Amino acid sequence: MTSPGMRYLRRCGMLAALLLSALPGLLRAEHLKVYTWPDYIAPEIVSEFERLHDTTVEFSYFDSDEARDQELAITNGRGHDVLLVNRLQVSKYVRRGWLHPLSADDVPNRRHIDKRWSDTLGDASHYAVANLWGTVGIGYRQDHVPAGFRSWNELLQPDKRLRNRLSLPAYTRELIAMSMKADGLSANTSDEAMIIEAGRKLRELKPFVRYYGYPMLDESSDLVTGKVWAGAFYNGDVLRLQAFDENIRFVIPEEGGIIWAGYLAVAQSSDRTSQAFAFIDFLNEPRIAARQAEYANLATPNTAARAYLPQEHLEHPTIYPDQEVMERSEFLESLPPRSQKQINIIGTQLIY
Amino acid sequence: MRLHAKLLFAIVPVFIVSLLSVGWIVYVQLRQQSEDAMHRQMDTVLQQTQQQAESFIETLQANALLFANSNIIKRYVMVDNEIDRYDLMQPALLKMFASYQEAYPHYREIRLLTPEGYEDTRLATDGLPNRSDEEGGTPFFTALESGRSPSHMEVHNNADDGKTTVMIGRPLWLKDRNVPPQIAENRLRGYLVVTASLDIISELLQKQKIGEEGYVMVLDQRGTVLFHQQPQLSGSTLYNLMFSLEKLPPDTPVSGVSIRDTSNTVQWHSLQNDLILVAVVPESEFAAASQTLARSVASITLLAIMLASLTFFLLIRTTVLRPISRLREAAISFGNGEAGVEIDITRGDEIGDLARALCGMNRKLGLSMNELQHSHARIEQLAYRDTLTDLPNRRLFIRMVEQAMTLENHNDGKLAVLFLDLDDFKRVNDTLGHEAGDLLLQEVSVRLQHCIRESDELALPLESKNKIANQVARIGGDEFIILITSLGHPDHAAIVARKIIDELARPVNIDDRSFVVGTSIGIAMFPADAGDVDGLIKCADTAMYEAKRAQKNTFRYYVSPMQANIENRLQLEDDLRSAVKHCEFELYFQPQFDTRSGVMAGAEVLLRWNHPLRGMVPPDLFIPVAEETGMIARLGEWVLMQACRQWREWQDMGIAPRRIAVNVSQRQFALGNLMAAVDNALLSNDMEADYLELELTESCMMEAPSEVVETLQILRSRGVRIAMDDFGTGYSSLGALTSLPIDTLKIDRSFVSGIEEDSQNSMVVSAILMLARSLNLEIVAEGVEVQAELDYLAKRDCDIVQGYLLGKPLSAASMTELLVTIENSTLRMTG
Repeated sequence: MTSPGMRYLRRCGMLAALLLSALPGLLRAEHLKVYTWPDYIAPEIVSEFERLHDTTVEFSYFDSDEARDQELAITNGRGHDVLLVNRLQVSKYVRRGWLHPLSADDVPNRRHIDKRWSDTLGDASHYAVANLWGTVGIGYRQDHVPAGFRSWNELLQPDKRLRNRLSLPAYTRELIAMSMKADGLSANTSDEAMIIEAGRKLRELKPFVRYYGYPMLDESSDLVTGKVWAGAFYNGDVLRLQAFDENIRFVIPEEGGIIWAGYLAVAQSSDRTSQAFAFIDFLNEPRIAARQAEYANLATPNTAARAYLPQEHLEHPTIYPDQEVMERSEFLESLPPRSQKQINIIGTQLIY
Repeated sequence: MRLHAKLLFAIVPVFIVSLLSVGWIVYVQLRQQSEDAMHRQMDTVLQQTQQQAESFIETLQANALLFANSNIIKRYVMVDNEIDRYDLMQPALLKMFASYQEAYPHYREIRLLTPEGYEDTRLATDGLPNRSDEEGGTPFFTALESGRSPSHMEVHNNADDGKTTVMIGRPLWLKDRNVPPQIAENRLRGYLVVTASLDIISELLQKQKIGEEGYVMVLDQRGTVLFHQQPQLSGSTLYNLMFSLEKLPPDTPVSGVSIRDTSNTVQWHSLQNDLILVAVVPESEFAAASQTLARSVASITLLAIMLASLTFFLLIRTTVLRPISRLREAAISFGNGEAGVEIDITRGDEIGDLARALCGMNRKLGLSMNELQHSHARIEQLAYRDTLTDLPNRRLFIRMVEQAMTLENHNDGKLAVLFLDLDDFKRVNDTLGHEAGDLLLQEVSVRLQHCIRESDELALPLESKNKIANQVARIGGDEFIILITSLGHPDHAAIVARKIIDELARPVNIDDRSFVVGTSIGIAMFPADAGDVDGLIKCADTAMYEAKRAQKNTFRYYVSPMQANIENRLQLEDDLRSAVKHCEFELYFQPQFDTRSGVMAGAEVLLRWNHPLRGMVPPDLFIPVAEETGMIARLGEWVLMQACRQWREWQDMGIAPRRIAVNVSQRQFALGNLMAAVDNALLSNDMEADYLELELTESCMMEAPSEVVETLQILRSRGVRIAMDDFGTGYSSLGALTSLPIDTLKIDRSFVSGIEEDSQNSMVVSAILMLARSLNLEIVAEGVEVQAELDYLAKRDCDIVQGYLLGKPLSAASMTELLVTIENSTLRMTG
């Protein structure tokens, strides 16, 4: 039998290992380190940048905005040069001191971005540059769910055939927003009782959810293989998966979608800021921005890039929804602290 | 009092007292040991429990420290902006708490409280309700807030689910980062609180057993039960026990402590955090253990006493008592004059001396004893034995029967007394003299003894000691009497009787001459026929005479005269009288055939009595009655007349058989009207005399007085044929046969039956056939029933045959039909 002391030491060791697993990113500094979604920037664009600037780019990926926040909370914003931050978190990153200011000189191509995208950030606008935006809607398999989906409610109160067939993002705030919209409420409803109720419904949905996370974007994706029949997805991801199976459909529910916008920023801790600026500037070149939008099947805020985009892309209703749909859709806004705390608790019951 | 009893009474109490004392000492020792063992067990369990509990709490304290010192929590508490806290930082903190909980599932809640007591972050086991976010007012928080130590711990008993938890809280003191550390103020940023389920300790306590019913519980300072083996007792408060414990030293077992109205042995130990660990063993457990112990020690002691006594007893028996008893037996034997008893005179002890003295005495007693013995036997012999055969005499026999009666009464069995009389003994005595007669009697007595020994198999299966053996006694010249005991069934006596008859039928050789002695036997049953010996012998004697009268060489059971002679007989007479009056008789005809031509040679007339109530009455039952009462005369006349009338009918039809044979009884002759009857019958029916044949039995004819023979001769001279019936059963001498007026011999059916297999019968029949041929008599064989018999007879030139094989007795009508059929076939053949 091991003595209590031995057991104590062993448990300490276990915890240490847990903490150390986050450290390797800090130890390598020879590349430009970019922290972003997987499959977000076309590899050719990256190669072109590497050639032009005689450098190498190293990617780290997150599969939800929440996961990225968690990692940066642990590292205190360290470990990366370029960060892709969702609109909602930019100002919080700035307050934490994690972001480096971006002047017009540092990133000249910022001028191509529609001004509304920086205005919406308020005080934080000179810390990040809008990159792409998209919509969270419902992706599904036409062959397995022939009736399709018209509303969030249909997805969140599914037919029992869909047990263990749904995929949802690992982002509690987004899940709550969907539930709110399904009930005809605003995605930004902050009433705690309503949040608790939404949490209850989401817990009931758990048996239907195969997993909470970000889908694979190649032919091994569960939506392609048929393990998953439906779920809440980013429009660009579903468009990419359609190439593998024509039964895959995307719909923005009648209650409206949730609009997501990604901003590029440079980490305060970066010691390669000039290369980071150059990388962001390169991605904002109209021609490159157009290629990135086409690659990711997302809409670009870069007005100059539109000239390089094919008509087909520009008129695609999934990428650029109609005005009417846009009016029903919502950006996520920060909620009062206690409401957010409630959402976090729900998160521990759903995703962790 | 006998010697062995005296010895046992002297020694056994010593055994008992000493073994009981040993048993008591062992019991006291063992009880002390078991109590010590129980106390050691209490001590061990307390120590183990204490170690486990302390190790658990140490781990909890260490983990709380570790959690509180993690970077993320330090960073988190420094974030003042609530939106950033919750929207940006908290998920990471929760994730870390979740990973802690994954590693320590019994940490039911991990929480971060603000300095004001607001529950900022909480990770709880699924489904654990959160009462309130505001912890500021709780006693735990108050204690945590005011405590100086780096951590505060409290054990709680949750009234909702009866679960006991321990809460440990650590204040988080951190310096501001935006001022140089040297001058930065260390400020309280919050508290980390871990709530751990104490199920592990609970389970541990559940498993801890002291003896059968002993247990361990944990109390807090106020006496509230935090853990108990019966979960429903957790949460209750034992004030009295606390009051007692305050006066008791720790770590020492003390008995007689009352808990919830039971008396217990208790030992306590103080744990950290003012907890008290109490080991409890109910006094009843000690009592039960001592009882069991007492029982086993008592039974072992008892067994030892018994074994010792038994061994001692056996020892006395083999070394003292048995030799003495052997000497005693020897002394008795010597007294009886039996010299052959051996005794051991080699022993060197007192018993050896005694044996040697006894031997000397025996030698001196000497031969005189022997002589006395012999004369006694002689007297007995004379008094109770028959001198000639050495069989018991009447006196001894009666004594034996009386004994047997008592036994059989007891065993519910039966006895038979057989009375024997030798039929022709007188003749032997007269012709050969008394010596030969004595030899014959001796031979007979040997054979009788042999017979009754063999009859044992007929006895009831009784144990031999409860049984008197079968006995033969001679009670007079040629009279023997036999006792058969334990009979299963009265019929079994008949088996013995038959055996005796057969045995005595074998010839006896005396002086080179061979004799056959017949016997008649009477049988009386006890208790059916008589209840005393004399009565039984008298009944057997009566039955013997009955047997002698009926036929020699046979036996009879005793039948009381009332039953046999009076009732039955009178009734039969009445019935017969009425039958003659009402003509209840009918004639039947049994055809006889010529063996050479196969033609019907004639028919024997048979008389049938159709009794209105009893049905067909056999002739051998009613003919003797008819003879005795004289009714035979009328009946015989009727038969003759009826037979001749029937012949006339057939004659008129042209189908009459060549001969009609009518049976005639000797009494008919005696009554003197036979001649008239025959004449009357022949004349009335215009019948030629030579168509009629009269049949008389052999015995009847042999005993017939000369007048009867004359009558027969007259009849024969007129043409009537005379036949001798049942030939071979009587004792016809050859001379008599030649002088009698007979035409036909009828061989008795008993010789015909099985003739082809039975050499004895076939020899008799061959002799009869030869005799008949030399005397020029016709032979009729009766009772031919199978083809083999017929073939045998035909081959040896037997003239006429009669029997079931050839034709049953037929009514007159059926006989007419048969005759018509034969006549028709004959006509066809000739025509």
